[in-house]
Amino acid sequence: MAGPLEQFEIHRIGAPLEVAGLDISFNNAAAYMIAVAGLLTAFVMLGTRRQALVPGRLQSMVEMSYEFVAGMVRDNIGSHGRSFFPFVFSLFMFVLTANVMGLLPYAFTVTSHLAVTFAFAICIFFAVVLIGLVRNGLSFFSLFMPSGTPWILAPLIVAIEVFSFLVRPVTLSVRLFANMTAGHILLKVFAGFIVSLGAGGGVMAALGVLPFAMIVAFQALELLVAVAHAYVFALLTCVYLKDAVDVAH
Amino acid sequence: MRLDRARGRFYVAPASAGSGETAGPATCVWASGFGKRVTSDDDDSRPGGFDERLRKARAARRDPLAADDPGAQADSDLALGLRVGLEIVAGVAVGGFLGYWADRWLGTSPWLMIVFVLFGFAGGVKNVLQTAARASAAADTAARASETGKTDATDDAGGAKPSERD
Repeated sequence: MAGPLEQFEIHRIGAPLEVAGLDISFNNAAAYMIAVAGLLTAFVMLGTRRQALVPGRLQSMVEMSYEFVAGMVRDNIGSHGRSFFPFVFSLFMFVLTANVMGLLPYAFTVTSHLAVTFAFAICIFFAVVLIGLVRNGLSFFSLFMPSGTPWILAPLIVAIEVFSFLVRPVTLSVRLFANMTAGHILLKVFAGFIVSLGAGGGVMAALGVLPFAMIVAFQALELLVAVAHAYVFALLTCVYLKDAVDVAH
Repeated sequence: MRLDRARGRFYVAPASAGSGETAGPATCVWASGFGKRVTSDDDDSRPGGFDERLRKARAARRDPLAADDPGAQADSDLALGLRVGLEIVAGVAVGGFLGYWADRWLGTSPWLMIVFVLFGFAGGVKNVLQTAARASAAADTAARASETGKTDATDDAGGAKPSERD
Protein backbone atom coordinates (compact mmCIF):
# COMPACT_ATOMS: atom_id res chain seq x y z
CA MET A 1 0.00 0.00 0.00
CA ALA A 2 1.23 3.49 -0.83
CA GLY A 3 2.53 5.58 2.04
CA PRO A 4 0.82 8.83 2.93
CA LEU A 5 3.71 10.87 1.55
CA GLU A 6 3.91 9.14 -1.80
CA GLN A 7 1.30 11.50 -3.26
CA PHE A 8 3.79 14.36 -3.06
CA GLU A 9 6.54 12.67 -5.02
CA ILE A 10 7.76 14.24 -8.23
CA HIS A 11 8.08 11.89 -11.18
CA ARG A 12 9.90 12.64 -14.38
CA ILE A 13 7.79 12.52 -17.51
CA GLY A 14 9.54 11.82 -20.78
CA ALA A 15 13.23 12.21 -21.51
CA PRO A 16 15.66 13.48 -18.87
CA LEU A 17 16.71 17.04 -19.55
CA GLU A 18 19.68 18.78 -17.99
CA VAL A 19 20.94 22.33 -18.38
CA ALA A 20 24.10 23.50 -16.61
CA GLY A 21 23.90 20.69 -14.07
CA LEU A 22 20.26 21.43 -13.25
CA ASP A 23 17.64 18.76 -13.80
CA ILE A 24 14.91 20.54 -15.73
CA SER A 25 13.09 17.44 -16.99
CA PHE A 26 9.37 17.72 -17.45
CA ASN A 27 7.58 16.25 -14.43
CA ASN A 28 4.14 15.66 -13.00
CA ALA A 29 4.15 18.97 -11.08
CA ALA A 30 4.85 20.87 -14.28
CA ALA A 31 2.18 18.87 -16.09
CA TYR A 32 -0.40 19.79 -13.45
CA MET A 33 0.59 23.44 -13.54
CA ILE A 34 0.08 23.48 -17.29
CA ALA A 35 -3.22 21.68 -16.84
CA VAL A 36 -4.34 24.28 -14.27
CA ALA A 37 -3.34 27.15 -16.54
CA GLY A 38 -5.04 25.52 -19.53
CA LEU A 39 -8.22 24.84 -17.57
CA LEU A 40 -8.33 28.45 -16.36
CA THR A 41 -7.75 29.84 -19.84
CA ALA A 42 -10.51 27.64 -21.23
CA PHE A 43 -12.83 28.62 -18.36
CA VAL A 44 -12.43 32.35 -18.87
CA MET A 45 -12.38 32.23 -22.67
CA LEU A 46 -15.43 29.99 -22.97
CA GLY A 47 -17.22 31.99 -20.30
CA THR A 48 -16.73 35.28 -22.10
CA ARG A 49 -17.16 33.95 -25.64
CA ARG A 50 -20.77 35.03 -25.91
CA GLN A 51 -21.21 38.13 -23.80
CA ALA A 52 -24.88 37.84 -23.10
CA LEU A 53 -26.66 40.56 -21.14
CA VAL A 54 -28.31 37.85 -19.11
CA PRO A 55 -25.37 35.52 -18.46
CA GLY A 56 -25.59 31.78 -18.70
CA ARG A 57 -24.10 29.45 -16.10
CA LEU A 58 -20.51 29.58 -17.32
CA GLN A 59 -20.53 33.32 -17.96
CA SER A 60 -22.02 33.84 -14.50
CA MET A 61 -19.19 31.88 -12.92
CA VAL A 62 -16.58 33.94 -14.75
CA GLU A 63 -18.33 37.18 -13.82
CA MET A 64 -18.62 36.14 -10.18
CA SER A 65 -14.90 35.36 -10.02
CA TYR A 66 -14.15 38.69 -11.63
CA GLU A 67 -16.34 40.64 -9.25
CA PHE A 68 -15.06 38.76 -6.22
CA VAL A 69 -11.42 39.51 -7.00
CA ALA A 70 -12.23 43.04 -8.16
CA GLY A 71 -13.94 43.73 -4.84
CA MET A 72 -10.99 42.34 -2.94
CA VAL A 73 -8.53 44.47 -4.94
CA ARG A 74 -10.65 47.60 -4.55
CA ASP A 75 -11.15 47.18 -0.81
CA ASN A 76 -7.55 46.35 -0.01
CA ILE A 77 -5.41 48.35 -2.41
CA GLY A 78 -7.69 51.29 -3.14
CA SER A 79 -7.55 53.68 -6.05
CA HIS A 80 -4.23 52.39 -7.37
CA GLY A 81 -5.45 48.83 -7.29
CA ARG A 82 -6.82 48.72 -10.81
CA SER A 83 -3.44 48.08 -12.39
CA PHE A 84 -2.82 45.09 -10.14
CA PHE A 85 -6.12 43.41 -10.87
CA PRO A 86 -4.87 41.13 -13.69
CA PHE A 87 -2.02 39.89 -11.51
CA VAL A 88 -4.16 39.24 -8.44
CA PHE A 89 -6.89 37.62 -10.52
CA SER A 90 -4.45 35.23 -12.21
CA LEU A 91 -2.79 34.43 -8.90
CA PHE A 92 -6.06 33.78 -7.07
CA MET A 93 -7.54 31.67 -9.84
CA PHE A 94 -4.35 29.65 -10.25
CA VAL A 95 -4.01 28.86 -6.56
CA LEU A 96 -7.73 28.15 -6.23
CA THR A 97 -7.78 25.80 -9.21
CA ALA A 98 -4.58 24.05 -8.13
CA ASN A 99 -5.95 23.56 -4.60
CA VAL A 100 -9.32 22.24 -5.73
CA MET A 101 -7.84 20.12 -8.52
CA GLY A 102 -5.58 18.46 -5.96
CA LEU A 103 -8.63 17.16 -4.12
CA LEU A 104 -9.58 14.93 -7.05
CA PRO A 105 -8.54 11.32 -6.50
CA TYR A 106 -5.14 10.45 -8.01
CA ALA A 107 -4.45 14.13 -8.65
CA PHE A 108 -1.22 15.86 -7.74
CA THR A 109 -1.49 19.03 -5.66
CA VAL A 110 0.79 21.69 -7.09
CA THR A 111 0.45 23.94 -4.04
CA SER A 112 1.53 21.19 -1.64
CA HIS A 113 5.13 21.95 -2.57
CA LEU A 114 6.93 24.70 -0.72
CA ALA A 115 9.05 25.29 -3.84
CA VAL A 116 5.94 26.39 -5.72
CA THR A 117 4.33 28.52 -3.02
CA PHE A 118 7.65 30.09 -1.99
CA ALA A 119 8.41 30.95 -5.61
CA PHE A 120 5.10 32.80 -5.74
CA ALA A 121 5.72 34.50 -2.41
CA ILE A 122 9.25 35.62 -3.18
CA CYS A 123 8.10 37.02 -6.54
CA ILE A 124 5.40 38.99 -4.75
CA PHE A 125 7.93 40.15 -2.17
CA PHE A 126 10.36 41.48 -4.76
CA ALA A 127 7.50 42.93 -6.78
CA VAL A 128 6.40 44.89 -3.71
CA VAL A 129 9.94 46.17 -3.11
CA LEU A 130 10.50 47.11 -6.76
CA ILE A 131 7.09 48.73 -7.30
CA GLY A 132 7.49 50.55 -4.00
CA LEU A 133 10.91 51.91 -4.96
CA VAL A 134 9.80 52.90 -8.48
CA ARG A 135 6.63 54.61 -7.31
CA ASN A 136 7.87 56.26 -4.14
CA GLY A 137 11.62 56.44 -4.56
CA LEU A 138 13.57 56.29 -1.35
CA SER A 139 10.56 57.39 0.67
CA PHE A 140 9.48 53.75 0.31
CA PHE A 141 11.79 53.05 3.23
CA SER A 142 9.63 55.22 5.47
CA LEU A 143 7.54 52.04 5.58
CA PHE A 144 10.00 50.86 8.22
CA MET A 145 9.68 54.05 10.23
CA PRO A 146 6.11 54.71 11.36
CA SER A 147 5.36 58.38 11.79
CA GLY A 148 5.47 59.58 15.36
CA THR A 149 8.18 57.20 16.49
CA PRO A 150 10.33 58.74 19.24
CA TRP A 151 13.94 59.08 18.04
CA ILE A 152 15.20 57.13 21.01
CA LEU A 153 13.21 54.08 19.94
CA ALA A 154 13.89 54.45 16.22
CA PRO A 155 16.64 51.79 15.86
CA LEU A 156 14.55 49.23 17.71
CA ILE A 157 11.38 50.02 15.79
CA VAL A 158 13.15 49.96 12.44
CA ALA A 159 14.69 46.56 13.22
CA ILE A 160 11.32 45.13 14.21
CA GLU A 161 9.63 46.59 11.13
CA VAL A 162 12.32 45.20 8.85
CA PHE A 163 11.92 41.75 10.36
CA SER A 164 8.15 41.84 10.13
CA PHE A 165 8.62 42.77 6.46
CA LEU A 166 11.10 39.94 5.84
CA VAL A 167 8.79 37.40 7.45
CA ARG A 168 6.08 38.05 4.86
CA PRO A 169 7.20 35.74 2.06
CA VAL A 170 7.77 32.96 4.59
CA THR A 171 4.34 33.17 6.22
CA LEU A 172 2.63 33.62 2.89
CA SER A 173 4.16 30.50 1.38
CA VAL A 174 4.35 28.24 4.43
CA ARG A 175 0.70 28.85 5.31
CA LEU A 176 -0.55 27.61 1.95
CA PHE A 177 1.93 24.78 1.64
CA ALA A 178 1.45 23.49 5.21
CA ASN A 179 -2.33 23.50 5.03
CA MET A 180 -2.49 21.71 1.70
CA THR A 181 0.13 19.13 2.71
CA ALA A 182 -1.40 18.47 6.13
CA GLY A 183 -4.87 18.02 4.69
CA HIS A 184 -3.73 15.58 2.05
CA ILE A 185 -1.70 13.53 4.53
CA LEU A 186 -4.71 13.37 6.83
CA LEU A 187 -6.94 12.13 4.03
CA LYS A 188 -4.37 9.53 3.00
CA VAL A 189 -3.85 8.24 6.55
CA PHE A 190 -7.56 7.75 7.09
CA ALA A 191 -7.87 6.08 3.69
CA GLY A 192 -5.09 3.74 4.83
CA PHE A 193 -7.15 2.80 7.91
CA ILE A 194 -10.01 1.72 5.68
CA VAL A 195 -7.77 -0.59 3.69
CA SER A 196 -6.14 -2.06 6.80
CA LEU A 197 -9.48 -2.66 8.52
CA GLY A 198 -10.94 -4.12 5.36
CA ALA A 199 -8.06 -6.57 5.13
CA GLY A 200 -8.72 -7.62 8.74
CA GLY A 201 -12.10 -9.04 7.73
CA GLY A 202 -15.19 -9.70 9.86
CA VAL A 203 -15.86 -7.16 12.62
CA MET A 204 -12.75 -5.21 11.64
CA ALA A 205 -14.06 -4.72 8.13
CA ALA A 206 -17.37 -3.46 9.51
CA LEU A 207 -15.48 -0.94 11.64
CA GLY A 208 -13.97 0.40 8.42
CA VAL A 209 -17.13 2.45 8.02
CA LEU A 210 -15.86 4.85 10.73
CA PRO A 211 -12.73 6.11 8.95
CA PHE A 212 -14.75 6.20 5.75
CA ALA A 213 -17.23 8.57 7.38
CA MET A 214 -14.30 10.65 8.62
CA ILE A 215 -12.93 10.88 5.09
CA VAL A 216 -16.23 12.19 3.78
CA ALA A 217 -16.20 14.90 6.46
CA PHE A 218 -12.52 15.71 5.89
CA GLN A 219 -13.06 15.96 2.16
CA ALA A 220 -15.64 18.68 2.75
CA LEU A 221 -13.32 20.41 5.20
CA GLU A 222 -10.46 20.22 2.72
CA LEU A 223 -12.61 21.84 0.05
CA LEU A 224 -13.23 24.71 2.47
CA VAL A 225 -9.52 24.92 3.29
CA ALA A 226 -8.60 24.88 -0.41
CA VAL A 227 -10.89 27.81 -1.20
CA ALA A 228 -10.14 29.75 1.99
CA HIS A 229 -6.39 29.54 1.50
CA ALA A 230 -6.57 30.66 -2.10
CA TYR A 231 -8.53 33.63 -0.77
CA VAL A 232 -6.05 34.32 2.03
CA PHE A 233 -3.13 34.10 -0.38
CA ALA A 234 -4.67 36.63 -2.77
CA LEU A 235 -5.87 38.85 0.07
CA LEU A 236 -2.42 39.09 1.63
CA THR A 237 -0.94 39.79 -1.79
CA CYS A 238 -3.32 42.76 -2.00
CA VAL A 239 -2.37 43.92 1.50
CA TYR A 240 1.33 43.76 0.63
CA LEU A 241 0.84 45.52 -2.70
CA LYS A 242 -0.94 48.32 -0.88
CA ASP A 243 2.28 49.00 1.02
CA ALA A 244 4.06 49.36 -2.30
CA VAL A 245 1.64 51.88 -3.79
CA ASP A 246 1.03 54.14 -0.84
CA VAL A 247 3.62 54.45 1.82
CA ALA A 248 1.84 57.29 3.62
CA HIS A 249 2.11 56.01 7.15
CA MET B 1 -61.85 38.20 -14.05
CA ARG B 2 -59.72 38.09 -17.16
CA LEU B 3 -56.12 37.41 -18.14
CA ASP B 4 -54.13 40.37 -19.32
CA ARG B 5 -50.76 40.29 -20.96
CA ALA B 6 -48.34 43.03 -20.15
CA ARG B 7 -44.65 42.95 -21.01
CA GLY B 8 -44.71 39.24 -21.67
CA ARG B 9 -46.20 38.43 -18.32
CA PHE B 10 -49.72 37.34 -17.54
CA TYR B 11 -51.58 38.41 -14.52
CA VAL B 12 -55.10 38.41 -13.30
CA ALA B 13 -56.62 41.80 -13.59
CA PRO B 14 -58.54 42.86 -10.50
CA ALA B 15 -62.25 42.44 -10.89
CA SER B 16 -62.80 46.06 -9.96
CA ALA B 17 -60.31 47.43 -12.45
CA GLY B 18 -63.04 49.02 -14.46
CA SER B 19 -64.70 50.88 -11.62
CA GLY B 20 -61.38 52.22 -10.29
CA GLU B 21 -62.44 52.62 -6.67
CA THR B 22 -60.95 49.52 -5.06
CA ALA B 23 -58.09 48.75 -7.39
CA GLY B 24 -56.39 46.50 -4.87
CA PRO B 25 -53.55 44.22 -5.82
CA ALA B 26 -54.36 40.88 -7.34
CA THR B 27 -52.28 37.76 -7.14
CA CYS B 28 -50.29 36.98 -10.21
CA VAL B 29 -50.99 33.47 -11.35
CA TRP B 30 -48.82 33.03 -14.36
CA ALA B 31 -45.32 33.05 -15.77
CA SER B 32 -42.39 34.80 -14.19
CA GLY B 33 -44.15 36.61 -11.40
CA PHE B 34 -46.24 33.75 -10.07
CA GLY B 35 -47.76 34.66 -6.74
CA LYS B 36 -46.52 38.25 -6.86
CA ARG B 37 -48.92 41.04 -6.08
CA VAL B 38 -49.45 43.23 -9.08
CA THR B 39 -51.78 46.13 -9.56
CA SER B 40 -53.75 46.97 -12.61
CA ASP B 41 -52.15 50.39 -12.88
CA ASP B 42 -48.61 48.92 -13.04
CA ASP B 43 -47.60 51.62 -15.48
CA ASP B 44 -43.94 51.78 -16.53
CA SER B 45 -43.50 55.50 -16.02
CA ARG B 46 -45.32 56.09 -12.72
CA PRO B 47 -43.23 56.63 -9.56
CA GLY B 48 -42.02 53.25 -8.39
CA GLY B 49 -42.80 51.76 -11.77
CA PHE B 50 -40.58 49.74 -14.02
CA ASP B 51 -38.64 52.71 -15.38
CA GLU B 52 -37.73 53.98 -11.96
CA ARG B 53 -36.75 50.55 -10.70
CA LEU B 54 -34.58 50.06 -13.76
CA ARG B 55 -32.90 53.41 -13.18
CA LYS B 56 -32.25 52.51 -9.55
CA ALA B 57 -30.85 49.12 -10.48
CA ARG B 58 -28.55 50.72 -13.05
CA ALA B 59 -27.35 53.27 -10.52
CA ALA B 60 -26.66 50.54 -7.98
CA ARG B 61 -24.57 48.68 -10.53
CA ARG B 62 -21.11 50.09 -10.17
CA ASP B 63 -17.77 49.16 -11.57
CA PRO B 64 -16.29 46.69 -9.09
CA LEU B 65 -12.88 48.25 -9.58
CA ALA B 66 -14.04 51.83 -9.04
CA ALA B 67 -12.26 53.05 -5.98
CA ASP B 68 -14.55 55.88 -4.97
CA ASP B 69 -16.60 53.56 -2.80
CA PRO B 70 -14.50 52.16 0.02
CA GLY B 71 -16.76 49.24 0.82
CA ALA B 72 -15.88 48.46 4.39
CA GLN B 73 -15.81 44.74 4.01
CA ALA B 74 -14.57 42.95 7.07
CA ASP B 75 -12.52 39.87 6.35
CA SER B 76 -14.17 36.67 7.32
CA ASP B 77 -13.21 35.37 10.75
CA LEU B 78 -11.92 32.18 9.18
CA ALA B 79 -9.51 34.02 6.93
CA LEU B 80 -8.38 36.08 9.89
CA GLY B 81 -7.75 33.06 12.09
CA LEU B 82 -5.76 31.32 9.40
CA ARG B 83 -3.62 34.39 8.95
CA VAL B 84 -2.47 35.09 12.48
CA GLY B 85 -1.61 31.53 13.50
CA LEU B 86 1.68 31.33 11.72
CA GLU B 87 3.08 34.83 12.10
CA ILE B 88 4.97 34.43 15.38
CA VAL B 89 6.47 31.05 14.55
CA ALA B 90 7.60 32.31 11.16
CA GLY B 91 9.05 35.45 12.73
CA VAL B 92 11.21 33.42 15.08
CA ALA B 93 12.22 31.06 12.27
CA VAL B 94 13.25 33.85 9.93
CA GLY B 95 15.12 35.62 12.74
CA GLY B 96 16.92 32.42 13.65
CA PHE B 97 17.80 31.64 10.05
CA LEU B 98 19.17 35.10 9.29
CA GLY B 99 20.97 35.23 12.64
CA TYR B 100 22.60 31.86 12.08
CA TRP B 101 24.00 32.86 8.68
CA ALA B 102 25.00 36.31 9.86
CA ASP B 103 26.92 34.66 12.71
CA ARG B 104 28.61 32.25 10.31
CA TRP B 105 29.60 35.18 8.12
CA LEU B 106 30.82 37.53 10.83
CA GLY B 107 32.02 34.90 13.29
CA THR B 108 30.02 36.36 16.15
CA SER B 109 28.22 33.17 17.15
CA PRO B 110 25.81 33.08 18.92
CA TRP B 111 25.06 36.74 19.59
CA LEU B 112 23.49 37.88 16.33
CA MET B 113 21.26 34.82 16.30
CA ILE B 114 19.96 35.60 19.77
CA VAL B 115 19.28 39.22 18.85
CA PHE B 116 17.69 38.34 15.51
CA VAL B 117 15.41 35.71 17.04
CA LEU B 118 14.14 38.33 19.48
CA PHE B 119 13.61 40.84 16.68
CA GLY B 120 11.90 38.17 14.61
CA PHE B 121 9.58 37.39 17.50
CA ALA B 122 8.80 41.08 17.94
CA GLY B 123 8.18 41.42 14.21
CA GLY B 124 5.78 38.46 14.30
CA VAL B 125 3.88 39.93 17.24
CA LYS B 126 3.75 43.24 15.41
CA ASN B 127 2.20 41.55 12.37
CA VAL B 128 -0.43 39.85 14.53
CA LEU B 129 -1.31 43.11 16.29
CA GLN B 130 -1.50 44.96 13.00
CA THR B 131 -3.76 42.32 11.47
CA ALA B 132 -6.01 42.40 14.52
CA ALA B 133 -6.16 46.20 14.54
CA ARG B 134 -7.02 46.29 10.86
CA ALA B 135 -9.71 43.65 11.28
CA SER B 136 -11.35 45.39 14.22
CA ALA B 137 -11.23 48.72 12.39
CA ALA B 138 -12.94 47.11 9.41
CA ALA B 139 -15.52 45.48 11.68
CA ASP B 140 -16.22 48.83 13.38
CA THR B 141 -16.68 50.52 10.04
CA ALA B 142 -18.97 47.76 8.84
CA ALA B 143 -21.01 47.96 12.06
CA ARG B 144 -21.31 51.74 11.77
CA ALA B 145 -22.28 51.43 8.11
CA SER B 146 -25.02 48.94 8.90
CA GLU B 147 -26.28 51.15 11.74
CA THR B 148 -26.61 54.24 9.64
CA GLY B 149 -27.73 52.24 6.65
CA LYS B 150 -25.14 53.65 4.33
CA THR B 151 -21.45 53.12 3.71
CA ASP B 152 -19.15 55.39 5.58
CA ALA B 153 -17.22 57.31 2.97
CA THR B 154 -14.60 58.73 5.29
CA ASP B 155 -12.94 55.58 6.48
CA ASP B 156 -10.73 53.46 4.29
CA ALA B 157 -11.00 50.01 5.78
CA GLY B 158 -8.13 48.62 3.75
CA GLY B 159 -5.36 50.55 5.37
CA ALA B 160 -4.18 50.60 8.93
CA LYS B 161 -4.10 54.11 10.26
CA PRO B 162 -0.84 55.36 11.70
CA SER B 163 -2.16 55.04 15.23
CA GLU B 164 -2.73 51.32 14.73
CA ARG B 165 0.90 50.67 14.01
CA ASP B 166 3.03 50.23 17.05
